Amino acid sequence: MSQSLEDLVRAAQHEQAERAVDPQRVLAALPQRRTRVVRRRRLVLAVAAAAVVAVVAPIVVLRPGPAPQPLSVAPGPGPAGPESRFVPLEFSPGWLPAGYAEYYRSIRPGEGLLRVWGSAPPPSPLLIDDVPRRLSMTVVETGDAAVTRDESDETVEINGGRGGYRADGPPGVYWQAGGFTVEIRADRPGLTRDTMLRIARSVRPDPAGTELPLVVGVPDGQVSVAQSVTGVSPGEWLAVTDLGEEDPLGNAVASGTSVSVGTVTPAPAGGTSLRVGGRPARHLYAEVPEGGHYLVVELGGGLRVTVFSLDLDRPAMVALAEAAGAPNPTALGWIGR
Amino acid sequence: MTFEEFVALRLGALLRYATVVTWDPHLAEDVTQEVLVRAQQRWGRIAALDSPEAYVKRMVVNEFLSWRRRRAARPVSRESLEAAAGSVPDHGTSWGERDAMWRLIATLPARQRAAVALRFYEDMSYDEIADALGCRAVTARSHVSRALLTLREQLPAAPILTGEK
Repeated sequence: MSQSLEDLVRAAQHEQAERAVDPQRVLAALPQRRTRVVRRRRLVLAVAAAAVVAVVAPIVVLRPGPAPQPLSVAPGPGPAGPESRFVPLEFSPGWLPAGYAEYYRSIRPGEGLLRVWGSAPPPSPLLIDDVPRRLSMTVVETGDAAVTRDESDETVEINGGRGGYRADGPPGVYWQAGGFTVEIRADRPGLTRDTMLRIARSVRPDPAGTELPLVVGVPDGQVSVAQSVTGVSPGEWLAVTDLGEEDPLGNAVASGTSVSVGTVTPAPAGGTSLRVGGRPARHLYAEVPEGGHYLVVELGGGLRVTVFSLDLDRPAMVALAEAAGAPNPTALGWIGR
Repeated sequence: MTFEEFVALRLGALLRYATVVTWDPHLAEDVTQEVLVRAQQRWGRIAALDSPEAYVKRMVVNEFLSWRRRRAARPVSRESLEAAAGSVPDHGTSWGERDAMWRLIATLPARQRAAVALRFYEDMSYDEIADALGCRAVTARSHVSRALLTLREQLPAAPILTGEK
């Protein structure tokens, strides 16, 4: 080696920096990007407002002591208990291509409520990205404000409302209806413009709601960054809560800790055996150095809690596992339908 | 400084920084665009900070390491490396070592790669790296140490002149 290790790293980094794209290209794309981000943020407001509608008590599975009490959605002092959120769907498609069913729902600040349908079930709740053809839908409350259309998008009419069809990138349709902006997007190739428009024109108001389980007591100083449920069927699913912290400007930043409950675990096999809350458990490190560690607790009945963290120590992970709950099984009936 | 002035003066440097952090020019472009849109919306508050640029760079790292980017932040695939290797500039006789280093950095876990970028490209202290990554300084040091250990072990056998202390 003719150079020091640090010098080689620096040289490689400076060469990599030379590969940066043209700043003018980034500047030119900013207006379009701004439109999409604003649309997404409006969705967050709609979902946040809806999240206080009702609370469904989950099943606390590890915490010792008396039966759990239903908890308020509003954050309280100290570690909060398991919570659930009931979120109105507002709209649902009345027609989808043959074979399409719903396998994923998530809520996240900055992303809002996201629903995903696929042409076939994922091979596992851990592999939602392996669905061959996917269609996603988001809904944002925009009031009377006119829908913002990207300049390059085709103007289309959806159920009497003006919207846009985007062919640049993943094909998508967005339009305004009843004070909301609805957007559907094909995340995989295979859905034509005509099919996308047919799906869009089949979308109708839906008074139903969905329960997105907050399956973890959020410790002081932490916030729930994202919650999701992925499933193959109502009997094969995984609910995940990602934790994070707010930075000085109020941005929720993932901290590298997540808690999941479901019929599968994202953790690899193996590890050291222990007991948590009287249940069999195992603790193991990721195969990648500094890749974090897992605590998996078997709940019985085919369910397990998994805590993953890059930074927390094991006692803190045990505390998170003990605060976790499972969603009401009836809240999972949408999976695969 | 207005947002427009910041972009005019610092966008090039910000893109180069993001490219080193992500090790992927296209992901860097996407991350930078996302961060700029969010920064513009709250520029009044960011501009009042002691170092707006440092804050925006921190936003870039956070966006790269965020939940939404987790999939993209996995070690760069072999296919991506092969595709990108064709555009690597020629820098003379030491190119073999640099090429190996470039490929090895691409395989580091995302947090380690980001920490190494902050340490050696940005010349940050471990306290500053910890602040940027939202971890303790000892963890930041551990990220860099682990990364250097991996790089040292994986580089083709040759004398090592120095190492990170």
